Amino acid sequence: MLSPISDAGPTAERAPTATLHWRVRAAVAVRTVAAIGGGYLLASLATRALAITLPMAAVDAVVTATLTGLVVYPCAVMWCFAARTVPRACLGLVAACALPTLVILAHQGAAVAR
Amino acid sequence: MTAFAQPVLVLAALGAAMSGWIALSLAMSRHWQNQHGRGTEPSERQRRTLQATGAAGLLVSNLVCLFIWGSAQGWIAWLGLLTAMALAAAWVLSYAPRTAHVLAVACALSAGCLLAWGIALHAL
Amino acid sequence: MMGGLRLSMAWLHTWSGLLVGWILFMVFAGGTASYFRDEITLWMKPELHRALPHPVTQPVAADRAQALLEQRAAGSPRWFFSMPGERNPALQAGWIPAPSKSAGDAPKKRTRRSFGSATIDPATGVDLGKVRATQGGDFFFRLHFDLHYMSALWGRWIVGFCSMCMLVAILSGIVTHKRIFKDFFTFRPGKGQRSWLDAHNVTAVLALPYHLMITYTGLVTLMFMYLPSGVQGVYQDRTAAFYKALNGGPGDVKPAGVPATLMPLGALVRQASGIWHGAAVGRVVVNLPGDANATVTLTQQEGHGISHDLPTITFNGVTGALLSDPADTSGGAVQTRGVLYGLHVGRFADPLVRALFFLSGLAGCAMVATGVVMWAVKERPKHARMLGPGRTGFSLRLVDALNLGSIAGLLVAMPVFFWANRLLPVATQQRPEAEILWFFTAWGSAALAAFVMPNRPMWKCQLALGGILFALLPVLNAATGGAGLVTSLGQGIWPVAGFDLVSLALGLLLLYAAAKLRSGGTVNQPAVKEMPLAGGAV
Repeated sequence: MLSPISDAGPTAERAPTATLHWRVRAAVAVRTVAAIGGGYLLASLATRALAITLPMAAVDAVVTATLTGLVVYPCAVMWCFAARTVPRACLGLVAACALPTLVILAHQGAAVAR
Repeated sequence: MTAFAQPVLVLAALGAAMSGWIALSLAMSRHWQNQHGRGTEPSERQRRTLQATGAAGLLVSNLVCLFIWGSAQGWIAWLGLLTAMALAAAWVLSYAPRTAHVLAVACALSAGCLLAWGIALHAL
Repeated sequence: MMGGLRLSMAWLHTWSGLLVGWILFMVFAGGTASYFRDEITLWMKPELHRALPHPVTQPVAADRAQALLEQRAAGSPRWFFSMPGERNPALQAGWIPAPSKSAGDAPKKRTRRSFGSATIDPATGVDLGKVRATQGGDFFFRLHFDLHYMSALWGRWIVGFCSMCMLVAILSGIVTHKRIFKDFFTFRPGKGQRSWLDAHNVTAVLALPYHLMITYTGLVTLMFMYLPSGVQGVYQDRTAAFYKALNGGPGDVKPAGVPATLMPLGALVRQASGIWHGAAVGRVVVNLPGDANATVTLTQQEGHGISHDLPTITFNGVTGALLSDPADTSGGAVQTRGVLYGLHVGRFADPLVRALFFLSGLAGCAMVATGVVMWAVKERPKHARMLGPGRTGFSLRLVDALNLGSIAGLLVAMPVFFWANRLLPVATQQRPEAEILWFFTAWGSAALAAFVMPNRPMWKCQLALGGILFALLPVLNAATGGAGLVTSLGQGIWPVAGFDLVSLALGLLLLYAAAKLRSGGTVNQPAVKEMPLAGGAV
């Protein structure tokens, strides 16, 4: 009976002092950096984009946006580790960042034009 | 609400939740087997009855909580109460599994009496 | 990642949980203790352990506070005091010191310690004085998000990072748990690794709403620091305007320079209660007392809604004119944030609901503790296979030591803090810091011992030590000038009685755990419910 968190991940079935292939270590490292750094970037961008576009009073928009950003972050982290391959993980993050970035740039452009 | 009615109603809610959780657990094969012996299974009808009674117990405790604390704090209190009683139920099912259904019946009966008493106290 | 969603989430759950688990245990323990921070503070001030004879009405209490503050804090730019209540029978007053007259003084950085304070008997208005200086329960409260011996900013970032990892661990744990309903009540004691997993599952799943709530709302309390891009995007550099819109309040009051008598505060208290349909006042803040522009802001007492944003009313302090608009309500989002903040802090809760929060917090401590211990339990056979029976490699030894030091070590440090509170002389210089130093010295020593000998006898030793220290707290209380159990139960001083009883219970629990731990190398560990459950001290 396989319990849910029994043998998982690259350390499974390997004796602890045996070395992991450097590829596996590198993959984990890249996913981790993408998750922590990229995830924070995505959460920040999403928060900012929401704050400037939500159709409510300024203070309410900021609060709603920030509450949402706190949820975006763990989702981004989980994506980075759930994605089938490392390039998929990174590209997924980049793709997700695209929309809020465009929104922010458009908003700044409109502000400058005014 | 009179000062005495609240503790009585709280106890009623606790009893209802406890019996509810135990009933729900007995609807699961694993805990039924701890009670009745390996390999036995509750019949489909028994399972449904247990699930229904269990849900009813939890619902009663919910209503009592909302009654005592009002709508906002009532939900919070109910969730806290459910957590406490679930932990207690897990303890009973691990260490005294054969007494589980007796305990459930006892809790349900006491909860009923306490509820009636509490409502009477509140109304008077 | 490898092997599908469940396995990758299991991996993520393990590492996001393990690597921050040692800090998280302390955060959970400190936070759980904080539910009773007022009670802890009262216990740590035995000079206040007496049933204050007749409870007085709030207007009378306010007038008493005003009398003392006018005497002791004349010229101060701000006074504040909190009304006596069940959790704190005395009237707690504070003030910002009057600005120094000599112009040559360099402006001092205002720290918490430079506030003036007094504890007043509400019936007589007398300063209860001679109360030993202690940070009390506030120490655990601040510890669990500011940490210590570092700037608060660093502490909050570290705790924030750990909390986000915790949220990731919870969410990935939910995704990866295959039979979340079938395993709901399952706990099989005495079966080694399986028992640890069962214990971890039970304490995690049965209190899952709480764990999700407390972790997310914890992040919410400091969310504008963690994710400032929203505030910056909309307000750019006018962040002060954002906080004013968020928190309300009278804002900065400018002195008129004209002296004027402050009107009796009792009358304002009565008026505020009236506007609130009888609800009690919790806190009073007076800005610029003695000036013509003085304002008095009254905050409602906790316990009505859930929100952390309690209703406030501001009056002109000289004329009594109503300055704030009672109809001024916040938007939905701000109210939501207030509720989330309030849920985390839990000050709205009555004693029963607070006890339920406390129990859930203990479950959280147990969840973290069983998690980190379980990792070590699972690793041990692998190390034994490679290196021989009973031998462990560096990584496992490190985890063993960290587990021991952060769990059992903390459970030794907490009661030491209370022992120091009673044994340090009252006149000690910088007494609060001295007590805190004892806490960390005890913890450091325990951690050091853990690194030297990270094995089961050391667990037994430290758990037993923590157990004895906790269990003897009621005795210490009575022997060092506090209200012993007989007195506190007899006179109805519930905070002190509660502290004594819970300490006793925790101590006995730890002693039981230490006793049930069998010395020896087998993985067959006893029932986990008795293991380091006790996270919070009261």
